[in-house]
Amino acid sequence: MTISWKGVRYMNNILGVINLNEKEDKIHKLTYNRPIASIPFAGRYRIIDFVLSNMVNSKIDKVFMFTRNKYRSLVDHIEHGRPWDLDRKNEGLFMFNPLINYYSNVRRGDMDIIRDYLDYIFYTKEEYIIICPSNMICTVNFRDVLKKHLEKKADITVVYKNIKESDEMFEDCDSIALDEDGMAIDLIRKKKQHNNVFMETFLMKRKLFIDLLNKKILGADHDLFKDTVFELKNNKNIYTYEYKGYLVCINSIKEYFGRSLDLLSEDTMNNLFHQTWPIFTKVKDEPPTIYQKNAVVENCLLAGGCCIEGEVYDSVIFRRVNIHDTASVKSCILMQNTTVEQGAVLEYAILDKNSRVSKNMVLKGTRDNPIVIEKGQII
Amino acid sequence: MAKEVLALILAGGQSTRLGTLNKKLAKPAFTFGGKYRIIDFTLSNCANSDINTVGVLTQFEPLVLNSYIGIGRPWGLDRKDGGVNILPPYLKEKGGEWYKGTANAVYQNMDYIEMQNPKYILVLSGDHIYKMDYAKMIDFHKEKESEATITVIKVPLKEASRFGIMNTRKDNSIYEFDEKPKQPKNDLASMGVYLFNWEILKKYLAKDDKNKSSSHDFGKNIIPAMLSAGVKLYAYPFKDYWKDVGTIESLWQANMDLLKIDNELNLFDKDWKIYSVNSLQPPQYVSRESKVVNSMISEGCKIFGTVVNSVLSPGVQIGKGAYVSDTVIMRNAIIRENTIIHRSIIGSRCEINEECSIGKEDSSNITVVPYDYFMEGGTVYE
Repeated sequence: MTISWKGVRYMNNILGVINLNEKEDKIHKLTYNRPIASIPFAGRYRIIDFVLSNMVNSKIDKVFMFTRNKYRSLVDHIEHGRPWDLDRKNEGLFMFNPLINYYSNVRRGDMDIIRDYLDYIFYTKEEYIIICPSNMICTVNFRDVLKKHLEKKADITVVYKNIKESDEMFEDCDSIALDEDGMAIDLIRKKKQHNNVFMETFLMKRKLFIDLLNKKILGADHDLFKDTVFELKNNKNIYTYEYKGYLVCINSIKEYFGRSLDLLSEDTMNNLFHQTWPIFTKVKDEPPTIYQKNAVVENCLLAGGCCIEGEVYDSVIFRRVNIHDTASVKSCILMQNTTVEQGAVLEYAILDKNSRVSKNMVLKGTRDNPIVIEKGQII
Repeated sequence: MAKEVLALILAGGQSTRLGTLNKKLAKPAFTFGGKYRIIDFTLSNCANSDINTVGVLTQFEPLVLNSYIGIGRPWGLDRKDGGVNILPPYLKEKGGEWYKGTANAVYQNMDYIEMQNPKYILVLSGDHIYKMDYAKMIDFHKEKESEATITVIKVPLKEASRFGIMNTRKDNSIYEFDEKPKQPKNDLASMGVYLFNWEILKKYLAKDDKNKSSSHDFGKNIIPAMLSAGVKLYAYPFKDYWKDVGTIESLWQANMDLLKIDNELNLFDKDWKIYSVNSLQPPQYVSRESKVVNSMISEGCKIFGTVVNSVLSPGVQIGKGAYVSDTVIMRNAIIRENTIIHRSIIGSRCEINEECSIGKEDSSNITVVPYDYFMEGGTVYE
């Protein structure tokens, strides 16, 4: 078989697919108006920024994003892929929002949503496809995954991270059982065997992906993509790639809060932010942050455009936050454009965007159960 | 298609008096206010005043400036109709030459201006710090049926002899222009912001070009020539913050001005944002043992020491036990442990090692550490 020059160009090329089929039941206080993918994280980012940056840093220049509902804030944030340099004449970022069929009100899973757009996947030319979620925040290089995939001559490669058993993170994540050769034997639901956290990331040939979707077109009992893949374990080679870098999974308020505060250490920050692996995000044109005469700031991460007059300890502060004098903030996450007025005391709290805590209010949560002030609330 | 206004930003001048900081950088490209470059102010003023056709005239060390401005995307100036054009001197049919003065620079771009075919031409300087709504000036120009309008600002009378001074009648019309007068009659100084009717300016530029003894300068030649020929000139009074940051002292002072509460420039004004190319750095980190007071800190900074009355650009690192006061530190400079800095400007990408001492607390001078400077540990630098 001869390959045209254009075909050569697409050999070993990867189509990136972001599957935003993410469970929100334990984080719903932050997801009334937005998907998990657009929850603000790490001071100036949104959760989606990390996976998109991983894709462009891995030289993937075509990305399909399959949303569920509530995608308005994503559309706003993504700006046609501009911050990731994915607003291309050819290739770039494509958003696929679920089609609404009024005649069917059955719950539609990720398989259904992707299948609605099968023709788009069919007509792309990339040889491989990588499917991943947004809420597994990491810095994985998909090129390395492909290298391993080719080395092992695998049909499918899935990505996992090995963690210590004592680790309390990743409670609701699935794990993978493997053999000595690194072949995936099984997918294990929650908590059973926990050292190999499954990062819900798959690499395979685009053709195989299309076959999978086609095969499942009639059997509607499993709509989750990962189940479909692991059903194949007896007749396809499913190999694994071990990722060793920074990983958190944002699937609950507790995880979101805990992992955000974990960022307040130089080691963690260096793990997530490398010079060679930039994380891109939407630009907001804020001035630098101002620290006034009586400001006390200790062990904090702060974005631009803030004005700090009061005291802040061990907190993550997003853009354009105002902390008035005599206010005290401890172990909190203050999202964009929030205000803490004079004399207010906050401990273990999350203030969602545009909210405001009035004078002398006292709000105290705990590390495992932080108080959440919803978007735009004034209390 | 005819444009109403074309803005031309003069960004080609040599930064002689800032040369101690960096000899290879055009003045408009110098860092200011932490994350900005000086030209951001003029470009943002254009964008916020709805002027979307802007020519930037460059000549001296333009490389950084060229790549910084690009197609003007960060300022929203990447427009289908208009946009930003960088205009260096170029070879023409009859040969080429460098820009010989502000007026000559505009004259050499006659073809570009004709291509845009504007009614008015707004001449701006790329090295001033101010926020100004040019639309208001244009309205004033139309209302007065002016042919050339010059923006003026009140300066202290004793400093007036450093500026071009406009002597005006009650209706703001100009009857006399004194370039750097020994005995100023007035305190209204030209800010170097001119609005001309293009048809009129065109004639005077052509006439001036033929005059071999002219220094081809707007202030020295064009305005006096217009005045003596009876062109209708008006002074448009500007009352807000304005600073020419042409010297080390004024650059330092303008940075310090930002630290005053309710400072006039107010970078936090949501209705008049100053846009810039944003760096891709994570949020700033302030550690437990550090202290930051009355300062402005940008993204990507890592602070482990003490920072007082200072302005830090993106990516600056301050080591443990270091003490920085009344200082401007530019992009990605690293200050290591136990170094003490007073009243200084530290250039971009400097590496200052442990236990250095830079500047003096009680000095009236500003100590300058040039861009990319590597300082051995323990150095005393004044």
